[in-house]
Amino acid sequence: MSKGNFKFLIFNFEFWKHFSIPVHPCSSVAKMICAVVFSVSLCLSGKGFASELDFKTLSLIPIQEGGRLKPMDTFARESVRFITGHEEFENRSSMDTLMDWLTHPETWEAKDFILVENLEMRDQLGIPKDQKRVSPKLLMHNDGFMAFAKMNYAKQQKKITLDAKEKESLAVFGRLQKFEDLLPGDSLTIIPIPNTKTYKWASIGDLKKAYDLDNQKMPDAAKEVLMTFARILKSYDGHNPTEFAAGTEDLSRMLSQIGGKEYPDPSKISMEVQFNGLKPFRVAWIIHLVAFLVIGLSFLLEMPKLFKPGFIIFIAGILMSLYGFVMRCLIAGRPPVSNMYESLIWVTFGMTVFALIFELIFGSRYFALAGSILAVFGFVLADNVPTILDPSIGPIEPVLRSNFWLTIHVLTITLSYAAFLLSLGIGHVCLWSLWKHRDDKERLKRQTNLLYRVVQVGIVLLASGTILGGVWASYSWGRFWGWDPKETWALIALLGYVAILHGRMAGWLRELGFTIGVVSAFLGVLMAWYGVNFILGVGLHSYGFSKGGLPYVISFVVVEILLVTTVGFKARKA
Amino acid sequence: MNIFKENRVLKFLGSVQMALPMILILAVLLATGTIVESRYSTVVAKRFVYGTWWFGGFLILLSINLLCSALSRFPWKKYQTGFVITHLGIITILAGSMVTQQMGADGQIALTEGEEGHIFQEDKPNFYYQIGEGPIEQVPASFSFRPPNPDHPLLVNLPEGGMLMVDQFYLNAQKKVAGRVAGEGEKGFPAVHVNLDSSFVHENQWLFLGHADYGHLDLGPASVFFEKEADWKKRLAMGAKEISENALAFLLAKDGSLKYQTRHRGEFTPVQPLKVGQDYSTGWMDMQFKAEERLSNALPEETYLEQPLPNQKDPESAIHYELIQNPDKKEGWLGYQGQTTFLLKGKTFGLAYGPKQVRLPFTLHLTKFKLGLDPGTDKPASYASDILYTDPEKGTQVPAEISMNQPLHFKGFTVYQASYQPMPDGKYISVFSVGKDPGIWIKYTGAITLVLGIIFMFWFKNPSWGKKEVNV
Repeated sequence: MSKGNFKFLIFNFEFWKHFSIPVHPCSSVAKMICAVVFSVSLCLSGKGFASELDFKTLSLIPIQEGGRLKPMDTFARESVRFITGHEEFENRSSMDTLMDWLTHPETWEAKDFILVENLEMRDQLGIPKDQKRVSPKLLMHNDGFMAFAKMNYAKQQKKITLDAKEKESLAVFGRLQKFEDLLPGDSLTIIPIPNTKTYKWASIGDLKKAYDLDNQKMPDAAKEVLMTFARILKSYDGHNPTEFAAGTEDLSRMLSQIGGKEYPDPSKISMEVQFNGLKPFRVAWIIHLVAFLVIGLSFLLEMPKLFKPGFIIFIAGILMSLYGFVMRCLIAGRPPVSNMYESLIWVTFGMTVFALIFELIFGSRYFALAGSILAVFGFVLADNVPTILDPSIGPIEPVLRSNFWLTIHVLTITLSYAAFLLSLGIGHVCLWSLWKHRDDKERLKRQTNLLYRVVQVGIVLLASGTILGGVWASYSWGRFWGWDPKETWALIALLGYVAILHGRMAGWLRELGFTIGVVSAFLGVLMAWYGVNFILGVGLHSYGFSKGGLPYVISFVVVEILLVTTVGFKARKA
Repeated sequence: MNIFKENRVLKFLGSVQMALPMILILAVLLATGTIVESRYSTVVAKRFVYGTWWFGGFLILLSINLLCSALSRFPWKKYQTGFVITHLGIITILAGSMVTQQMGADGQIALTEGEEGHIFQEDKPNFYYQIGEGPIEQVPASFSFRPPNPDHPLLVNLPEGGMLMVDQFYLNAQKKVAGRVAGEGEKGFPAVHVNLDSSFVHENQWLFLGHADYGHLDLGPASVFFEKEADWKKRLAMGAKEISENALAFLLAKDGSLKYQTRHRGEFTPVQPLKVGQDYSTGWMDMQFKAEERLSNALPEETYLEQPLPNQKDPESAIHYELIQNPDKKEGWLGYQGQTTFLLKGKTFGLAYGPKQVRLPFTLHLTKFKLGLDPGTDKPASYASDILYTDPEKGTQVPAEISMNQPLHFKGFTVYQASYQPMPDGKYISVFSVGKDPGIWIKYTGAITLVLGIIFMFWFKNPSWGKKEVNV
């Protein structure tokens, strides 16, 4: 971890003198810091008591990380998730885990908590294949691994493509480094004194280094921040809720005093903490699940009266995800177009809105049924696989920034996916009818007509979205079409649906054929949406099925194919 | 009377019986292309799928199908408006692409701050030769259709007699440098053949003492050197500059014997004698090393070996040339972007193999490259270049800024900000894409037509579709 960029000198010591935060009449600040920060690990670690501590104030402290200002709460969640793969490691909150890491580094050095996903990598590290995590100690004492990771880093800098194992070595190394950077407080950039050149705030680690360099010169305010931080760690270690609360209050007050006008708006920070805690998309899938059950009952019991409450619950689910969506846009300051997680929640949300609109136009009940259950699938997926679908909010690539047409292009394409997702749901309703009500021609015709309507919307959006992509690419890269896999697969998906339309027009595809076609054509969308990034992106031959959730997708595809063939055979026989 | 309805061939060409299989085949071809691309690389996918004659032919056939299908329904009825507009839109887009492919250009130009340039490179391999002070001749050498081989070489008859030929082409080749004992009168280098081994890494290389390219080996976190013991000691005395924290040095002692010294996390071990063929530990990266062979006067000999196509990486091609000036002859290898000059029968020959060079009708001067970072990180948030471009007719220099979404349009060319590269001296290299796309407006027109057509088709009900459903 030879980073070597010790930027002590970013402190403008003159600046600190403007602050006259009274220093506690402590006999020796230095002794205290040494005693607490650097050797607190001598104390025994204690679990359980920590739950009495109130992390609220601490979680609201803004931290500058990953290109934006975020509450400590988000930082803790992201760090714990990044390193361990779970937001709540061993059933403790992220804030609790983070504080424990900072307070008892020695205990954690020997604990298995750093995620290793690739099976071959586990083998090479000499751990059983079913052991998901390793300790920092094990990694750091494995010279072969450390050198391998560093070599791959050098390779990556030279823009050499890495294979799955090489990538994994970098991922594991990254997790280790993130943990190691936490310990000296290097990544706790919470002191709002920006470097004039990079606008980087100062970190607790910077303060410590400055202190070690020359504690005489260090302004009292700086010592005070450092000491308060030490106090917090000490009270965490001693499970002292009162002292912990007082310490975190003091730290929060000092930092906001130092930040002055430039300090982020507390209401925005607390909005994000609220968003983190509420998890609107988790709430949304629960509401949608209830909606689905009620609407499903209305069908099962043939009680149309039950539909209305179900539909109202469905709308509540949409409103919940809308709220989450708006919050996320406000926090990120941009539309959600940057990664798979964001596109999944956007597509799921868009699908429910389409379902709502179609329901209001056609009043068929099928749209709300399909929409609610698909929303459950979509949001559950988004909620549960953070290493594949990373929910953290980060800055986006320069090329994707502040570009109106690009945003429109991405939103159009993904909205077409939303329409096709709904068509998949309605397609299943049709499959059900083909299975159960083969003789009810009227019903089949009505349903496939609804299906046709949804597909039409999807085609218009996909065709125009793909073309908008070409226009944007031509405008900012000079290339209308470049056979890039993403655009090519969008075209393949479009060709799939176009083929079905031609088949229907020629009279070759009737209710059964059309339904099967629409359900199968969704595989094209799946490939364009997920496959290009996760299957083609990492290479067809890559090991490590744990990467990217391929088994889930393959099982989904297999189930769909089986379903379609079974219904096909049964309907033909009848 | 409509010939597209009467003629059976034309009727079939415009039929849905033709269209549907074509759509499906196109989907399969494209899917194959993307799989090839992800397995190998963009270059390979272009070479074997998108850029082939049969792919182009297929698109032409598709255009014919679209055209015939639209024309065979002439005179068009009102409800067919959407259908006709959509199909004509697709044909227009395909026509626009054809114009772009035939008349467009697409390349890159890289400029260092303060540098001026007017030649950009297209990613189309070419073979270059120059005799004496004569002009540089350019021969296309992408060999996508029929690669040359010793039986069917690419032949160039030189104007002053003699012959130049390319008689071998490897799409993917790896350079192999081996030590060869220097001949009489040749000045060589002392050389060792080094073998490095760990559970993660295997390296096998020749090191030539004092050679500019093959004098040392960089493994990322560690380096391997081969130096004279005295020079090495001088370097250490000067503060061990430019020696990585982990290092291995093969040392040639005054008496001609071999020694070695290792460095681990900045700490040097004592100098030890080295026996050829014996394994030692480097002390870092869990690695073993040995000197397999040593030569006291050797020359590096570059050859290329054909390799299977690399995974997820552009192949690195190489050609073998032979220059015949009876009775003399010179042969050798050139890797992509490689060049060589030599004397043969008193004449200087220059040969090169690399991307096509195209002249811009104006000059670009990079004044300054500007990089914006996300606050508190070193992640780039935006990049832009301040440039001056020269209008050759007026002879004036015009300042402009080119940024991510703000290209420069001038004389039919468009210059885009593509990427950048920091240099060790703190300056930046700014990389621009240069394009000329005369077909773009045709494509835009087609695109708008296509989308309008689809909307028309879906929003204005088609009576025949309803009839079909009644027939069910």
